[in-house]
Amino acid sequence: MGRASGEGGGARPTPLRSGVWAGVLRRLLRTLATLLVSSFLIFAALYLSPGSPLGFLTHGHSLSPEAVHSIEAQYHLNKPFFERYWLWLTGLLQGDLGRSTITREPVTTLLSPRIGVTFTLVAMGAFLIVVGGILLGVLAGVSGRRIDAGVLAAVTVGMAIPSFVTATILINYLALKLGWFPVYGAGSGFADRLWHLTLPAISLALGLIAYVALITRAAVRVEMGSEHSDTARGRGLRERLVIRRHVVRNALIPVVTVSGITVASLVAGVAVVETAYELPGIGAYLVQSVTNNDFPVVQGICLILVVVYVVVNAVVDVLYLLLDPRLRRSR
Amino acid sequence: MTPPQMRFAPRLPGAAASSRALLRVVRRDRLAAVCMTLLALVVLVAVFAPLIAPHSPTEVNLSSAYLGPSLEHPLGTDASGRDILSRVIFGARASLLGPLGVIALALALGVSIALVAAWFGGWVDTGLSAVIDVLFAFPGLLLAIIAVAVFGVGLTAPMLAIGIAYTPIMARIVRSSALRERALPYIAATTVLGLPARRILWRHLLPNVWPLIVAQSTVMFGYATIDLAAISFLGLGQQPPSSDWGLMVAEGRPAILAGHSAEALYPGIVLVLVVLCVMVLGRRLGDRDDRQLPRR
Repeated sequence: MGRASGEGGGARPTPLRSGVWAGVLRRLLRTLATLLVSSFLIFAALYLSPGSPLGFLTHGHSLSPEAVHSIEAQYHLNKPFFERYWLWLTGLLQGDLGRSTITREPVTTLLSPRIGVTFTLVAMGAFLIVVGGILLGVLAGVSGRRIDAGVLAAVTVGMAIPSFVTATILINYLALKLGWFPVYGAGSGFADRLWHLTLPAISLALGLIAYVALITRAAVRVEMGSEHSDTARGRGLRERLVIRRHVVRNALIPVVTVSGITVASLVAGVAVVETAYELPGIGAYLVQSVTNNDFPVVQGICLILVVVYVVVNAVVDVLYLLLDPRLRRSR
Repeated sequence: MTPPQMRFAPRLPGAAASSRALLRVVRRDRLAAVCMTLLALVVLVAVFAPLIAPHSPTEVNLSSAYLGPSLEHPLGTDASGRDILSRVIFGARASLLGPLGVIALALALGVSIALVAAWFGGWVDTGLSAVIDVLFAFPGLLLAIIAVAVFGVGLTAPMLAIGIAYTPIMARIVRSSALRERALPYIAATTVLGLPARRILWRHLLPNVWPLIVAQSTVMFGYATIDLAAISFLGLGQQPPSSDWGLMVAEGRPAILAGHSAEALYPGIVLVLVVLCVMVLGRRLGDRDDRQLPRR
């Protein structure tokens, strides 16, 4: 949605290189500011909740004054609010996310075995989205009415299916009735893990494949009718070559942005898909910790997810600046 | 681009204009008409649920658990012998009221931010855009999960959180459209006439941006339905014995392993159909906006 073109700057002719780097620098500074503010929001959220943070940490049990005192000391509750935030933030930068209020273990210890599953799942989902979305979009964009209408219909349905419904249908038919895939769990070893995560990755990616396909199709349509494609055809190039060299190449520039944003938004979807397939990843663990009121774990996972989301978005914006030579001239 | 002098502010107030636009789309477009009819049907069913549903959605009868489809129970029964059809019918209420709240919030917040930013420009615009940027850092579903962690399970917290998460999307779209409108002569004319800013925004600028807002809200309603159902699926939204469609899918999951897939599948399918209709309608409304403007 034009996110990359959001920042100001008219058509001032600036010297080639410095223009881009100023843009990149501005984007990085904004990213840092966003990260700082969102970390503050995640931290402050605990103090927004009705009831005292102490009640949260003790789960409403009444404890002896000494126990209360030690909990206060452990979570720095006896210090002023902003000092607590500062301690938390500096802890974060040293890789310390605090301790779970349920198991009393460090959050990082709890998350490290789970993060691999989530990472593999997101990577597989991202692969499916980029490859599937672009292929479908290009197919619809260059084909005749019939195929185009078919892809468009499929894509519209794909966008309307929530991941947990896809998961239910896939488990019921492909895993249980046909027995082609395992039902639950993440498997062990590389190949086994990929096999276990295939259905989850499809569930995670389906709606976003459709979205990327839609954007790609529109971009391809525009390029198909553009003057430079007509010129290439007029020079007698075969249609295949025109499509590959002139249409798809140009159409991919907006698609890169959209794919990046889409992949970033996978981050939120993992909670649902991991729960649906009972995978031991950080998304399912986030939901569990919310149910258990284990606030340090919730804060830790949310922080990781938001950081990934923000950083991927920023990288995509910067890539966009670097990829499109036309932007260099106009910034 | 439209030559600016060819565009005029329509005299219609927003609501009337948008319902007319809807009728115009439905009259010309068969697919949109089908979707509209289906949605109207779903809304009627939700409103008159107690009259339509053959059974109570919460009445437990353990002796009739996991019955197959029959005249008595067209979609069969669930693990506690409750009629699945009746639960899906009552579930329409829970599943559609939430997204309505999300859209109302995103609309009110997003449009106000956008209009103020576009009208005043300068540092107001910069400041509001910065706020919007930070809001963009949280995907809707994640914000909803955080809200549940802070305020507890239920419909309200996720609804408000998703509404806030959708606000920047609405604000960005409306802002860019409002900026375009602002540069047109008819707005300059109202300024020259000395009308107060509030009146210009409400009576002249907003009606022209309105079709876009309606299309955007419709599509958003589809996404909000999915997001809230997902929250209920996770067990963080509506609680039993509610028959929210997302919650029904979650509750029906264990039975799938035993071969009883009805409770998990039917609410999911109804959910997909409703979202599909909403999104098709939203897209058609948006298309209309694109196609119509140049001709005016």
